[in-house]
Amino acid sequence: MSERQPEDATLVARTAAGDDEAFRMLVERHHRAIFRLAYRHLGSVADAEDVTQDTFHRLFEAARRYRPERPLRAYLFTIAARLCLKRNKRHDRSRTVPVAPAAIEASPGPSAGASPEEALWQKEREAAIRSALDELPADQRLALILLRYEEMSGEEIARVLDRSPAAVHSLLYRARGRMAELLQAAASLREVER
Amino acid sequence: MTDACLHCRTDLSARPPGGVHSPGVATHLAACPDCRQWMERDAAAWQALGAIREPEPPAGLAGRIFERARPRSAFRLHRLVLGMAGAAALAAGIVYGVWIWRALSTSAPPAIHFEPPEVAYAELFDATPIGGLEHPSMGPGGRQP
Repeated sequence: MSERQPEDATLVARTAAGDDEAFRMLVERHHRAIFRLAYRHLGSVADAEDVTQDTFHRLFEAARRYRPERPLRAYLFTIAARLCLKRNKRHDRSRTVPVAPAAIEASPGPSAGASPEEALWQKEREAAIRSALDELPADQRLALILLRYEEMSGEEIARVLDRSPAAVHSLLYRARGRMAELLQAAASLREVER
Repeated sequence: MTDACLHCRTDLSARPPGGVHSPGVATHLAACPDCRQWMERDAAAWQALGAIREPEPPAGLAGRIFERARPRSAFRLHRLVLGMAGAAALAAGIVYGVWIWRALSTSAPPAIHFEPPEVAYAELFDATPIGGLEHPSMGPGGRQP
């Protein structure tokens, strides 16, 4: 029989009281989800790692102020989302390299057992989708990632992004419409290349 | 695109494709080929987004997060000890100051004794000029003859 794991709120309270082991358990439990969100939004392993580290630092620093009525996962996503948007703003100002090559370079390796051709095709496809995602404005991209990959509702996304539900629905409408256009254009381009 | 189309597409965008539509959206979709086409393209894009594999964090990330937080914890302890020492020094200074102030305010002021010189000024030297006070040209008592 597996031992019952402590609740997030209990671990945060123990972290606030100086219990390092409780903080370690929180990191183990949630760091993958935060890294995934940041990587999908920023498209760079190094940037995603920075955001993940900063998110947990902020949790560590603010553990005393954490209100347990809000789920910790949503709380961490809110911190990470704000850090992503901030970092994105900085990158937008200094971005000099095209998006697609950076996305190819930073994307994870091909899945195990894939032939070299399949791996190349998979990588190209991912890079095309990644590139289309990067074309979206940062807030639209983030809303779409939270809906598509984190399976959050419009209301949950609104809380994470600190927007009204109506504003989030509008963001999602524009993001999904633009994404469909971009992917259709990319598919048409591939057809022409063949 | 009409307002009804915008309302329909915004509603569809707020959730994953393939779910049950509200009666208003379902009615509009049945009557609007543009929105049905929009919905099909959206569903294809949604599926394409699933082709991005789940990124795995780099090895050792959890350890690095933890190690980066620990020095802060040590720094906070150091800061706490320094703060407590400072507060103790300040409290001691205040107590000492109050003690001094009370000591000064409750004791009698130091008496200042003025002791007149035991020897009178006149006794120190003879102020009478040599030869007396009377000028030779003067009569007794300093009067003109």
